[in-house]
Amino acid sequence: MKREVRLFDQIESFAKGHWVTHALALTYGYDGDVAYDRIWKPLIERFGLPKPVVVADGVVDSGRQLGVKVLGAGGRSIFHPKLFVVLREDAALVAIGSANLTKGGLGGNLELLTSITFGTEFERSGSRNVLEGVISFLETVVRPRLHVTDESIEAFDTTCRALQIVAGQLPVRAKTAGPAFVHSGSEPLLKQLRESHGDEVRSAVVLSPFWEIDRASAEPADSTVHSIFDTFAWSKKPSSPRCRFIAGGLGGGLRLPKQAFEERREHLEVHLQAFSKEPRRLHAKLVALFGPKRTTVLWGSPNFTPSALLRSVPEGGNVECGFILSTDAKSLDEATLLAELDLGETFEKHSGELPEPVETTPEQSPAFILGELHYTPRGQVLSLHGYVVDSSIAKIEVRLTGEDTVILSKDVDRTGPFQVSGRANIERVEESGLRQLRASTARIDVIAHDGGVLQTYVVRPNVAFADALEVRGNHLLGAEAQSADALLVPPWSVPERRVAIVDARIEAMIASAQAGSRRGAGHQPSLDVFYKNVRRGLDTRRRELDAHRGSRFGLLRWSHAMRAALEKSLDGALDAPRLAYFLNRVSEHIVDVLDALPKWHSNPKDLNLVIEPHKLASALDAVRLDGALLEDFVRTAREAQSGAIRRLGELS
Amino acid sequence: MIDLDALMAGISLDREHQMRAVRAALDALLVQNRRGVVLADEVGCGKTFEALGAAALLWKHFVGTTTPVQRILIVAEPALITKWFSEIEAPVDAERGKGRGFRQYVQGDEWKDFRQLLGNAARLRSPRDGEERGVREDGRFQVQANRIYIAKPALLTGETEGSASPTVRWLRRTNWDIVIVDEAHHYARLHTRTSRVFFPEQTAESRPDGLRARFMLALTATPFQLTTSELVNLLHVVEAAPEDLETLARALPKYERALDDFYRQRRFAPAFEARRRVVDRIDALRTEHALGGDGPPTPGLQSLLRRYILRNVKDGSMRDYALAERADSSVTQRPFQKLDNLKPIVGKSPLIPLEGDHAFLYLTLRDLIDDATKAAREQEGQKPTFVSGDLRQGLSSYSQLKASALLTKKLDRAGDIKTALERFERSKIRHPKVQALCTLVDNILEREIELLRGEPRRMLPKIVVFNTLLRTAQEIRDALHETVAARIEPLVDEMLRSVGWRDRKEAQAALDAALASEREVARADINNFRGEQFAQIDKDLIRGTPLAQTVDSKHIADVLFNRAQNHCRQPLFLLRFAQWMRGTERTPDEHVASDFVMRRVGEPLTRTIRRIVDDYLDDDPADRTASKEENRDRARRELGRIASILGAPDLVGRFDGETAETDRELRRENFNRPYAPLVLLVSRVGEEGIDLQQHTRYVLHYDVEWNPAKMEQREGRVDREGRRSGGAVQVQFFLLKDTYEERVFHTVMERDAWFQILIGSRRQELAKGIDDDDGETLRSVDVADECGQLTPEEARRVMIDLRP
Repeated sequence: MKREVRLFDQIESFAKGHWVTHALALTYGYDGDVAYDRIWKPLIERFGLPKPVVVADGVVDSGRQLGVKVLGAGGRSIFHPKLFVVLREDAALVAIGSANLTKGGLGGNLELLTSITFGTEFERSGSRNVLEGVISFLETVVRPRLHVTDESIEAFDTTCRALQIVAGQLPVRAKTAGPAFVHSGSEPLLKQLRESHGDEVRSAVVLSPFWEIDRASAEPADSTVHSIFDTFAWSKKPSSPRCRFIAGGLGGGLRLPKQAFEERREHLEVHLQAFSKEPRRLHAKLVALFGPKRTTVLWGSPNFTPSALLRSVPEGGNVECGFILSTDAKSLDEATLLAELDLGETFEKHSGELPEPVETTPEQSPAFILGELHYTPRGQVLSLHGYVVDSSIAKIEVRLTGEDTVILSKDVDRTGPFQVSGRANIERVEESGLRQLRASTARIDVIAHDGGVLQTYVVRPNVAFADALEVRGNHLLGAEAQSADALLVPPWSVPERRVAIVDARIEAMIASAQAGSRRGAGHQPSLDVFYKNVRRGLDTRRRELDAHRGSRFGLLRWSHAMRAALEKSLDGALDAPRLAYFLNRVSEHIVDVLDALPKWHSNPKDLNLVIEPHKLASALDAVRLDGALLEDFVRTAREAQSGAIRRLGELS
Repeated sequence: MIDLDALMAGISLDREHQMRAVRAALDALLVQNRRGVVLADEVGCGKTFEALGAAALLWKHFVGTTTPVQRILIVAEPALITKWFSEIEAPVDAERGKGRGFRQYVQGDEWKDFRQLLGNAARLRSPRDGEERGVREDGRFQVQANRIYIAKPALLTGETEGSASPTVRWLRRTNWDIVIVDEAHHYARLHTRTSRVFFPEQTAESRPDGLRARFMLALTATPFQLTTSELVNLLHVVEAAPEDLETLARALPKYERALDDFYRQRRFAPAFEARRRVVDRIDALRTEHALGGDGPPTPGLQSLLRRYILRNVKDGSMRDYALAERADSSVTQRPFQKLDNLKPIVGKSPLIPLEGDHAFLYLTLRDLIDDATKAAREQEGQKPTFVSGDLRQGLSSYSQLKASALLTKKLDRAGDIKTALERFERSKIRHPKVQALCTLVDNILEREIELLRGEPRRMLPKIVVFNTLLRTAQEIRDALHETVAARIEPLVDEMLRSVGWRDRKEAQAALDAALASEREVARADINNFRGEQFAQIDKDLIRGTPLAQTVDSKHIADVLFNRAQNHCRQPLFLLRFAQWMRGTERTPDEHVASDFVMRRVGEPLTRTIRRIVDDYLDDDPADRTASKEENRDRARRELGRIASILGAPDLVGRFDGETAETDRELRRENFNRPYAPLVLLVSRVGEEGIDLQQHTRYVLHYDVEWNPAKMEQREGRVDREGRRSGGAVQVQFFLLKDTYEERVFHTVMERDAWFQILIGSRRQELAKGIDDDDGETLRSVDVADECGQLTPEEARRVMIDLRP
């Protein structure tokens, strides 16, 4: 197809030269290792992405990399959207289409993907409506399906909030050109398509890799093939054929609704993929309606199936999302679209007999929906979150793969949200003194009252962000891999360097472990690195604030970073001179930023909500200097501290 | 067939490596029939004696043949002519059979004629020097047979022909048996005038018209600092075979380029494929085929070069490297090898930690430097000049920091730092590095004193501290003086009491009395020797010497023996006295002090005075051609030198640009003797050209130079031929943990490793070092990820080994 875009190319051109602050991916299938290689690793290492979150349907391979959290959002209905959100400073990129984060989706298949950038800096920013639509979808449709830890929910919510800030800066327009974001959360998508079109239909084009299954019992109203003929306002003079149905190639499990096609034979053409022309398997989905006045196209995650298009989520339909573009018929006619899709080239008209449908047993809906298996290295707490659908479940047990011991189990007495947590040490300590998970996956057995196993999940536990943040080489590095000063370094400055810093710190930790460290567990940053982190870190932040004229987003992030660093400084890793210096410089810096506020904003008090001065003040106040240092030094630092607290008080 | 073993048996130089070099040279010249060889030992390996040794054996080999060795020419820079002359001339102490010069090696009867040849050495410094008759041989006038001439190169370029003495004119026409060319690399650069000695047209082709000899011995310490074409010229000087020259002219650039490729790969890990490949390639050039398979079969570059160049390198076995580490109240050493992967070693070492207030001050200092840089950048036209330099000052000592220009800036933090420094000064808080240095020196002395107690004749080894900053020098001098005195003074008292003196005063009084009586003896001796009238010295004769404060005309013995009084009162003199008493089992009686003073001061001083009077002051001076004024000048210099030796320097002395030249000399002279100073603080002034090796065992790098060649120079002051203190030189580095110093250290060590293997222009570039405030350092004053380490295996495979 001509307008193919690759997800990572889009992300890269969006992120280049910036810090990527958040990323969230919704996908049906998930291949963790592939996604890590192609998407997450470069985002983490080159663009400083701290907490990537993936929400996927139940069936996932979460991969071995601990730096990414994978949340289950399966359920009785299929979780099928493909939506990718990346945020930097005050801009967002939303990519929606047919591609999952799987080997196929990331290059192996023919996919249709549309990415839109949002932000005041872009000449052609996506519209506020679209972004608000995405946010609403995330909050009202996706979030309720997440039966996961608070920490993961928080990460999800933070991303939504960041999107809101971006949306809030975009102008409000009554009507906007360009595609509208749609989802199946409350209305069936085909209905939405029909309504958007608002015109007669002369012809239609459907592109889909998966199709409904002929069922004897099914009513025509429950068939997408029939629906398209029956529910649309067909023109008195329709084209011939009315519909072009474009499907994947034969073989490889392609199932077509032979019966429905036969019934509507005179009105449709079937086109199948010619693998000799295009070896990649079709995975794109699209429905286009052509009327005398308008052309309307729906594309995104929905296949041409009843559960995707005919039912909303409350009605048992899939969770789907996509774009609908309704435009003047002249600007997009059928011929143009078909040319775009390489019809005739990649897809050839099928004239022979259609293959017999393969009988399949419909997938049973799961008895237990897995949300997340979560491990917090600090305190060694393992917790399992999910949703019990079926009352036949008696017990759920968790074991590390390859081990017999049950490390977590709970009897089930009712349906509904399920949660169990307990202490479990699933780590091993390497010779170097660094820690790793003992096994990369755990087995979750869902056990029926009769003792039989109803269901088994093999998943990789998610690791608490606090510890996974600096995950390198799958080592569990929490507090010890970070120090307060490192948190001052804006990750967007040179993320590669940050990675190098972490690697260097790991190396130093290994070295000190081997030397029988005299420094203890709290790894003390070397003086030079410490200095650089503090001074250069603060200077860079200050410059950045200036460059964005103290944008609210920037100030929010700044305040968070200051607080995080100050809180971290309480962990005792910094010795007396470092702590005094740290306190001194951070205090000076805070005052400096507060001094600059009037330059950027006419009424600094409005910034209360983003800066949250009281929180910052109490974080500052919590730092205590009691090491053995010259009085003068301590006094200087304390004066700076109380000065900054006073100034913050004036702001709130 | 030549029996090299038998020939070699005729001489016995001190060091085995010197013997190997001589043997290899003879093998090349006599067995392989080459015209010449390059003796290219590293500085301090004793090349001079190797060359003279080879010359001596060549002489011996041809004795009694039809082609005896009769004429030897040494070409040396004017500044080095005296050195060569004294190596040849210096008499051998009849008593001990030892001396400073080369004669000690040619003592037997079979060398009698050769010694005579040595006695016929003449220095040619100006065109008018040399008035001997010539002889006519081979149809032209030549210099006389059985002569050694030491000539400066300018006399051999033919430019002074017109006004020159006959000898000088004949120099270029003589059929020399042996020509020794010192600093031979000077002649390889064809754009210089001196190159005309061997290349009259300043082209390689003109070599046959230049100075030639039956045997050519070229000396240089730095062959690989020459560009590849210059290196070929050097081989032209020793008249290498034309086919070898041709091959080398093509092979050396190949090798240089391959090394360059390797150098460019240095940021990659040694296991990296491309890096491994380039090492393989270099190894193949080096050992298999010098042209890399291009052209006719040829041996590897190493074998080709070995035909003509012999190079002893200090293998490091005479130096033990270590990092000073502070452990609680003592300072210990973490040993390392230069080619080790130093990052983990340094990483694991606590080094000298910068803690507490010192750490806070360091951070504030870095802030101040950044502030100042920023301020300078804002002020247009002003270049930020203070970066690493200021940091170095702060890391060096607080008095250095206090004097830094940085603190005069009108910046908030400058005030903070000044206040803090005052506070430190009031509370007597020492800089951690100064403190560590004192502790280390204290530890060394403690250990050495313990050894000395068990071994009465043992000497306290001396300690050289290299440090570039002058304020720091003063601070560490004062601090060290305290430390050293606290160890030495009680030791002196203890030792004196242990041999029977009641206290130091009593011993001192005895020595004073002994010296006074020695003075009387000397005075009478001198008066008898040439007459009292020649023993008087006036103010003019001691002008500019340390004796200048003595007034009016006096007897030379009075002046010098008075000068010796303080010398004999210094603690280390008393210590030697006590040690001597213990060694000879003497007890305090009326003779013991006289015996000691007579041996140590009286007799040698009297001998020296006699020589001065005899050579310069009486009516029959040694050099009759010299004017009276010339002789008085010589006497003045000699008196100055003696006065220096007889000085009484402090236990810890400075040798730097701030000390007067006479004081510097005094300290340097005495440092090579068993007396004070015991610790010498040397600045850049003393990094080159001076010898400090005699009794030195410890080299402490208080700071580090960017330039590997300079670091080598520093250590070369001590690690050189002529050391009397046994064992390896202990080289210690003082690095402040986690600071800029670590980075400098890694950089220097890395550069050093590359410096050792690279050749040509890249090597010259490395030898230049880094300007303290240049961009590279400015960008990266932090302990950053340093790679580029050369592994010992790689070094072995790429480096041309020319050890004989």
